[in-house]
Amino acid sequence: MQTSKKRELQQTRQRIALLKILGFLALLVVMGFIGLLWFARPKTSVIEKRDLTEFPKFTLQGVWDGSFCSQVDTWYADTYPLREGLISMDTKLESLYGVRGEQIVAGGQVADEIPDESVDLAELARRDETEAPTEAAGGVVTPTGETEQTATESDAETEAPTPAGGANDVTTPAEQAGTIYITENCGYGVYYFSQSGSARYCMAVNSVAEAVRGQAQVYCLIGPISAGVMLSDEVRDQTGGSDEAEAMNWMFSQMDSSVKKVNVYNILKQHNNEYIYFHTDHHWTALGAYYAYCEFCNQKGITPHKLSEFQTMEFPGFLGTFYSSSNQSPALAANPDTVTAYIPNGTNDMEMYVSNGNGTYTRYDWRVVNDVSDYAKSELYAAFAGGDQPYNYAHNEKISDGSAVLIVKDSYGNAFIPFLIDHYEHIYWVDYRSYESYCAWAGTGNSSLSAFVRANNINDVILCNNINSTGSSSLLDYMERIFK
Amino acid sequence: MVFSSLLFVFLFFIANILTQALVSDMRKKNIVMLCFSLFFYAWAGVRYVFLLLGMTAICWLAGRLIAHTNRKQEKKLWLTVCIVLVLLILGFFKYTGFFLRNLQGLTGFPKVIPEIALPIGISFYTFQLLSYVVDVYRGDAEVQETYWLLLLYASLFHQCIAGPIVRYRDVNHDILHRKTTLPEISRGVTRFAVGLAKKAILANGCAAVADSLLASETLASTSVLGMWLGMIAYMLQIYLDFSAYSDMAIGMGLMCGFHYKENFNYPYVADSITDFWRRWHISLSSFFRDYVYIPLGGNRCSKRRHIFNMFVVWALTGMWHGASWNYIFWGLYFFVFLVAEKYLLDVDRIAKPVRHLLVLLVVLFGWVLFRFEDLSQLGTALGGMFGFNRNAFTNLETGLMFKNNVFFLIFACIAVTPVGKNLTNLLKNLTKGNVWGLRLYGVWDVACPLILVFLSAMALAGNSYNPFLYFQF
Repeated sequence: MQTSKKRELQQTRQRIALLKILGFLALLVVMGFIGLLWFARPKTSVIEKRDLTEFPKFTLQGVWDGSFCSQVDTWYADTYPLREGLISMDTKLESLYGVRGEQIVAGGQVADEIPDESVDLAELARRDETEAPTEAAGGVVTPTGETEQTATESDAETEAPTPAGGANDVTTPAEQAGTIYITENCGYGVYYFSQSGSARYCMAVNSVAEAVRGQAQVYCLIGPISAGVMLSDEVRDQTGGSDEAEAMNWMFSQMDSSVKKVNVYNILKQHNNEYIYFHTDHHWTALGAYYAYCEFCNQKGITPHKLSEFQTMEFPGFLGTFYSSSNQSPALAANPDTVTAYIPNGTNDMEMYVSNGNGTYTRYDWRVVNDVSDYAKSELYAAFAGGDQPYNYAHNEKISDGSAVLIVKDSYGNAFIPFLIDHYEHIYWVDYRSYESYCAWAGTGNSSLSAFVRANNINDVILCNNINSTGSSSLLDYMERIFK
Repeated sequence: MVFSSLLFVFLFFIANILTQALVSDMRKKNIVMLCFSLFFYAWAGVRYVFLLLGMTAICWLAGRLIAHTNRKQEKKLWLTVCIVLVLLILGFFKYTGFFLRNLQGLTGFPKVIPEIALPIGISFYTFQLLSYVVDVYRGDAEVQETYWLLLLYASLFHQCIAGPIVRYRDVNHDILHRKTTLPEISRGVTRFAVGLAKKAILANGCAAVADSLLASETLASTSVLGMWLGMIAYMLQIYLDFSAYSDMAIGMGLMCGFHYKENFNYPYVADSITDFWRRWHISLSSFFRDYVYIPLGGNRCSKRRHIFNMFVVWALTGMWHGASWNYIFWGLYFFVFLVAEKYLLDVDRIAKPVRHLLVLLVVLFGWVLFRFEDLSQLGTALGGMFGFNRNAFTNLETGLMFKNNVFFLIFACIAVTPVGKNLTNLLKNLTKGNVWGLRLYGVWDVACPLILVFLSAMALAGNSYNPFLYFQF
């Protein structure tokens, strides 16, 4: 009896061991097999808005020094077929790590002090030229602009392929979500002032003003980001962020007197109990952009249109850049945004040039406010003004006075542009991050803004970008090349 | 390729264990194992394979020369030649830059300091090879006549690049006659999975907290509590990370019949610094004990000489960890405490809980020394911990970092103690004599590694998105 029980226990033990080993092997083999399905490996990540690592080019040198293999390592993990699902599960697991209602993502940045008005810009701009504080310190940079649409397109859409800019387009570099403070299911972008960056920005603006003096009026509109507008000064100080109003005042004080400064901070601050910034994305909403437009009209001396004069489109379920750079924070997933777009009355038709990714561009007829219901939930901000394409144009036939505006913008400009359509006959807008490369393809020879102003009889030049871009040395490089 | 990468776990490792299981002949098994190991090593750069081959050749030759002569003088000569050669090579790769930088600082010469990359694992396999030659000299190990079998010992991917430092005499038998048994493979599976999860989930999670609070760009502005929280997270990380590698090595060894000695024994429950070093990186401290400390005379000599012996060992221990002053300080820092424990303090008179706490504090400050190679940063960190950087006691970021990770950190603190092991043993004992109990335990035992490997894959997938990619713009 005793021995039979012993034998049974022994057998059970063996069975458990065998089962464990087989289960373990099976899991590894299955996961390994999935890893071998080269055709199932994704090339881009819609959620992270970036190209995934490509399989490295084989070189003997790379094998010799190990760089080839280390890239294979990265490639294998970065394009592993189940990767996004695994990450999403991991984020859910990590939400159990602690109380995560409130958190700071990609923190660890330090703001420069905002100097007084009597400084030498050129000297300031040279200071720590090699450093780019807003980029170097752990902020997650996400290229905005659209990745390829993943949802199947409706029949009506098939004649016009979805623009594939952004992540597929090496010529459209990053704008950043930067440091995000998340509280009560809302993300807020925190701004860190950069002395050298802001000085460079002011100098770039001044050089445009100089170059188009007597030909066009330059407007400078810096879009504040959400923490400075939506949070109390006290909370903003605790996050270590800079005072955006103070930073903007300083920058405006350094700009040429011929530049009209569109300071939208106060009007946005007054309306900060409204839905003027997305909760899951670093952009302002169309409503936020509308208030900026009101302030622009005020500067220009025209009357802004009332919101009630526009027809609207709504796209619910938006999970934007904060969502992706927080590794799909469940707090944000619980609070998706709705993108509301106001359709311009002058015209909703536009043309745009979209990068093919190899230095060439294709022209598309498009809509200023486009129906993005079929787009991925991370792509809904693409509803505005064609997204981040290098060159765009709309002709408002309801006006025939020859008035022309050029908006030089990053993605903050996109939500702003539809409101301007009604006020000019010719509306041009370029993205400063890719305009130069577009010009190279189009053979215009000269990619300076002043050349554009002369060629197209532009009356108003509006420089419209978000405040973070004024501190990003790589983006400033782009501005400096065409702001002349 | 590191153990904690998807490519390793889901391709290299699985291919390795399947081929080890399918090949029956021991000679072929070893050839296959050697091929895998060299491939693994070459992954970090083929150029370093030649160094490994060369260092092994030197020690193989020296072993044979020593074993094949009866003349003591000659044995000693070959041993000396071998040790000098091997240490020169190690010194060249590891310390040339350090030495020249210091020389430059003192004399201005040389003008240009050559960049010499450190071949991966060189500190580990050099010590393994040295232990082989010395053991052959002492008659503690049999000579290995076959070059490629010695190469297999030195290059075995389980422990070649990150330890444990395995002695030849401990694995010689396994290399030639290893057998796998069901219970051992089963233990290996659990050990491997635990190690993988320890690294992928716990160590990397702690690293995220530590790196965020102790980032060099913002170190000067980290709050006082933030500095402490960051250092505690780093303290947890370094143990979890390092012991995870050993766990995985031991686990992989068991799965194919190798038996490696334990390298860690819950060092953070130590009740004295002496005890801590009996529990931390055991294979390294026992290497220094057997090949440096005891040959110098150990403690069977005058007090002065004993202190000198300890000084040598701890200066070397510090240097072994890296070519930078902070590591040497770190080694000597422990030397001071060890001497104090030996000659000045009677640790037994301190109440046990207080003793544990003091040990943790001493070790924590040790890790501060260990973390910052840049001495000015080290000063900033130490100053910051005591509020000398004029920063707030705490701030929003510190508070959130703690709140966001509080359960995780508590879990990590438990994971560095034997609680988990004791609970498992308790469960095992409770269910031992009863078939149904055993089956119940079996469910846990089977599911545990599967869950851990899957959770690790989740964590590693997220880590794969290399920040560098994001910063290319």
